[in-house]
Amino acid sequence: MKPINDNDLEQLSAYIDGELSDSERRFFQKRLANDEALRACCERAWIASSVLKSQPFQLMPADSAERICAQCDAPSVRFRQPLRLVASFGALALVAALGYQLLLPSDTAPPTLAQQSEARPAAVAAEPGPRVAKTGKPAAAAVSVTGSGIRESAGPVQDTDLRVADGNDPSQFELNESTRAKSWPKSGQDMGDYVVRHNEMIGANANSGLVSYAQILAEPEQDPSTPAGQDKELDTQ
Amino acid sequence: MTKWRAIGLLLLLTPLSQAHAEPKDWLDSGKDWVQQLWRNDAQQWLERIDTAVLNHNYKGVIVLARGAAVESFTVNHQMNNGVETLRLKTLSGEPRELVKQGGKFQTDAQARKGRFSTISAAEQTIFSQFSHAADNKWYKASLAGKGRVAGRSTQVVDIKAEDKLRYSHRLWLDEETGLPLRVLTLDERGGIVEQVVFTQIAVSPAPQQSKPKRNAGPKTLDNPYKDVKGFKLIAQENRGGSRHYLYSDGLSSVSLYVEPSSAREKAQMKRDAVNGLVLADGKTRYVALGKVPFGTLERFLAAAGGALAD
Repeated sequence: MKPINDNDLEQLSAYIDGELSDSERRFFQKRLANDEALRACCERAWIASSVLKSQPFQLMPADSAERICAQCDAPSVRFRQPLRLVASFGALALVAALGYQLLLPSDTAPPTLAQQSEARPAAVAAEPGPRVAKTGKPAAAAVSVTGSGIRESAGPVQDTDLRVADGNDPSQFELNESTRAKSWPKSGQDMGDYVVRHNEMIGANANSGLVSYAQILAEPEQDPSTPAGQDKELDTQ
Repeated sequence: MTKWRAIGLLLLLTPLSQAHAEPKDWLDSGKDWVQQLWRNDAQQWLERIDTAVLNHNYKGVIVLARGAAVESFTVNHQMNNGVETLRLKTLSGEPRELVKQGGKFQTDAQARKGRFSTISAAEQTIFSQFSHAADNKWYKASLAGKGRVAGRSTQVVDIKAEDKLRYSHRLWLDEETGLPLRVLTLDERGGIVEQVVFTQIAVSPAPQQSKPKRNAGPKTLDNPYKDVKGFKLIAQENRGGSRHYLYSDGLSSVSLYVEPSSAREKAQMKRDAVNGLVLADGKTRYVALGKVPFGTLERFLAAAGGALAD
């Protein structure tokens, strides 16, 4: 076991981000299996990564470009005119690139699930539509994330968000796990009801044992307004 | 020389005469001996789990980490006359408690409402799913070195998924008793999806020793939709118009909810280790969720949608 160096950390970062090739990943996994220190480092990095990913996503303020330009235009004794122009263009290019990445529509995603080419209903029209289902449960769209990976964004971006309802064919979903994990922020307040029911049924049927019982306790209590018909002993068959 | 030949002959005849007296026992023990020779070491470790749970009482503290969420609980597991009682209390967040005894479990929230949940696989212990993992064709078990958890020496066993539709697991089994002290769920890239680990544990033998019942797991029900590779429908219920189907491959579980909805939507959700997909066509909403890759959930939605189209 050798001490962890910068190269190891770089490899570790690439591994966690899913940027290693298959052979590099296999090699790194073998190293992880044999190197306790590196494994511990990997676990710490993974926890840090999870915490960072769980932070709420925030868009840059709409007037950020103007504010940057205003800063650039401010009199400065250090920068001469040509340098100031380059800096301004650089900042604008950066903002534009960021904006392009954020607003990139989901239909640029790679095609997937080719085998699921069964006939399906026509694509659902893009419309905000009712956000609450007939069952009384909040529709998942209210908590969902969009193809652009932006949630509850403000201003004109919100219209782009609604384009998530651009089809109901599951074959259009991406299959690339690493892309998904990075481009879709975590959400799911309204998923709680489903998760509670999921854990309860697993606890009663699926032998998942200690972990599922712990999860039942870890989830917040179900909404007390649950209809009486739903609040009874599980009718499993 | 004659004396040595006589001794040799006697030694040869002794087992033969015993075999003649009890041919079935001899055959069975021979079969066991051959099976032991060919058994996978990992399988032997996994098969110890149920026996370990049934024959030990233990108290301790577990930490459950899922994504960025970390919760801790006290665990009190007691065996009385072959009946398993598990008591879990939260140490973080809201004070809550769950008791599992025999074929039922109840949380304090359920108790306030006067309800409980019946466990269909009552004879299963709280780690039975791993005990049977070596027989599960969708996973492959292998030994993976030694470790130390909660101050106890452990044997590490990998339960690797055979395809990308499910997650893999890594167990740290107590060398002395065989109890699982740490369980990791790993995605296809080896990233940790979830882990539960004992940080403290005190183990003592149960007053009565018993043998685990060999159980094939939950009964499989008729699936109204197309099957997804490796997953069988094991339970279903109907709550207020929302039909809930639970599928399992023995280790991983997926819930599919089918309910009326006027919304049109297609969305993705994530809550700690649980992934979820929603698909609604203006009449019916399908929600698939579970600790499986999104690709698996897509297949469940496609399977349900396919049946709808039929």
